[in-house]
Amino acid sequence: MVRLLRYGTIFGPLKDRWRYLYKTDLYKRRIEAGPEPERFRSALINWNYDAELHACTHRFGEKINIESLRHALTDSSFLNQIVKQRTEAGLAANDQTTLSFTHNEELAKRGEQIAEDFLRRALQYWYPKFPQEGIDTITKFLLSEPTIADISSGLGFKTLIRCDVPSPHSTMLKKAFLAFIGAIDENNDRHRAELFVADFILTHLVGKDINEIWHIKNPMGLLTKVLEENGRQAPESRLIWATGVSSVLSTYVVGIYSNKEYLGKSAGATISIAEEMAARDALRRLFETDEQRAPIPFDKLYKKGLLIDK
Amino acid sequence: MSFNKAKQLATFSRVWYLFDAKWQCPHASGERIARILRGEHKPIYYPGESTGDCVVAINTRHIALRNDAWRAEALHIRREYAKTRYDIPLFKLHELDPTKVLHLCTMNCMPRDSGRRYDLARLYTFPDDAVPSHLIRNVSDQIRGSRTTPQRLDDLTPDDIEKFPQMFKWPKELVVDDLDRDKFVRVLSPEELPKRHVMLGQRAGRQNYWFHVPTTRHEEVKIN
Repeated sequence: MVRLLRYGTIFGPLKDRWRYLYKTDLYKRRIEAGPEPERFRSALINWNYDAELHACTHRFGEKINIESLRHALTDSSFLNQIVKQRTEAGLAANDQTTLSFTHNEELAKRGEQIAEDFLRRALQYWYPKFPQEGIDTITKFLLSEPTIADISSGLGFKTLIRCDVPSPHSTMLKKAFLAFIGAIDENNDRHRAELFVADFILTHLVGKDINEIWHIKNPMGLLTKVLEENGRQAPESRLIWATGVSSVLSTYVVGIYSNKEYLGKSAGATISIAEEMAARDALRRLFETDEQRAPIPFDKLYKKGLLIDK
Repeated sequence: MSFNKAKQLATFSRVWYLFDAKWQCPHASGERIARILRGEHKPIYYPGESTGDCVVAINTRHIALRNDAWRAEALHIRREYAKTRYDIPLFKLHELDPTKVLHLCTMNCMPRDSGRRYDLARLYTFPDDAVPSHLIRNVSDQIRGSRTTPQRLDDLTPDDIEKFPQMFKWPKELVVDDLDRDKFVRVLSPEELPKRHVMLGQRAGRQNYWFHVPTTRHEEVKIN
């Protein structure tokens, strides 16, 4: 009832004409002013970088020297910016050698090396029949810029990185994260760094199918090659059953056999798609990466028998 | 196409079934067909979802109703106004539309909700075994009927009857050759057929008939 009475009346802050005009004008001015410029987190008053670094080491449970952590989180752009500022201020080139810190390029390379080695070893250990090319592709995917940047920003490196832009680019995020791994290696040991990789990079495979990350262009050709290497006969595809052939939801189920021995099967909307998917299914069964395969035990890889390198 | 898409397709595709209704009880087969049309035989079944399969039922002209149902049971039609309801006996209904009885029996086995007609639209019925090629191509499976098809005595050749193993021989005076029908059945001439009494006048309204022949008011309707 109340709603009915109020409907169509000017009520509240816009009741007075002058107030309405005032609010409209404020709104227009805000639109004209545009969005707020991005600011560094350190520009805000409640920022304590040392405390943040300290919290970072405790967050991951890693015992890292604060200075080396600061080193790992310093991007080269930050250094360039300081050098530029000093040059503008009139300092000579030889004065600039007294800078007490360097950027994280070296550490990042070290971290990347550790991560790549470990990932390759772990994947090869858990999927022993998966081809080398596939393992390379998955390692590359896990160490690619979008993946690592995603992990890095998720772990809160976004505000910790020292760089010349308020929100760091994905290259900076990646470098800082890998340098952090390098810093763990430097301060503790390699085993500790590998555990970190297993916890935070390898777990990115959760919910993903490694057969789809490594996209095989010609599955039937690869299947023929693999069977030939194993000394088996060439694959033969058979239509198992089809339904609703002339309807919209047509389904064909094609099976792949080698010397009358079942390799795999799959459904598809057309025969050619079904055959291709059946070849993929046969491949993942041969590589032992199919759905029945247990997921990677991320925290128990060493307990399960992965050999410690070096 | 990814593995998940293939899995999705294999799970949710509508499978086409063939059902041969020859000598089948439409009530029993209606239950089976309704179950499949609603998708109740699938593990993914959920009442609100459309998970059913398609059924092509053939030979519906040759269904076998129980007992005296062809004569005794009827389709009751109420036409919303007073004195406009009438019954169609099933033998007459079957003459008018040979697929109707199976349709009605299937519909009867589905819950009376708004989704029933959508499920029923996936049932294709044909009076004989002639099915359009675009439908029969879809079929990939069949529903087994609940009744075995009986073999009638007049389907057998005299040789088969002779060769049928006998446990003992009847004495000759007790045997009547009842396969010779002309001995027992007489074909009536049209004059001898009983005339149907057509009512005229006050009680000739359509509420007194189980059939209704729509005509113009002034046309004379003759029913024999």
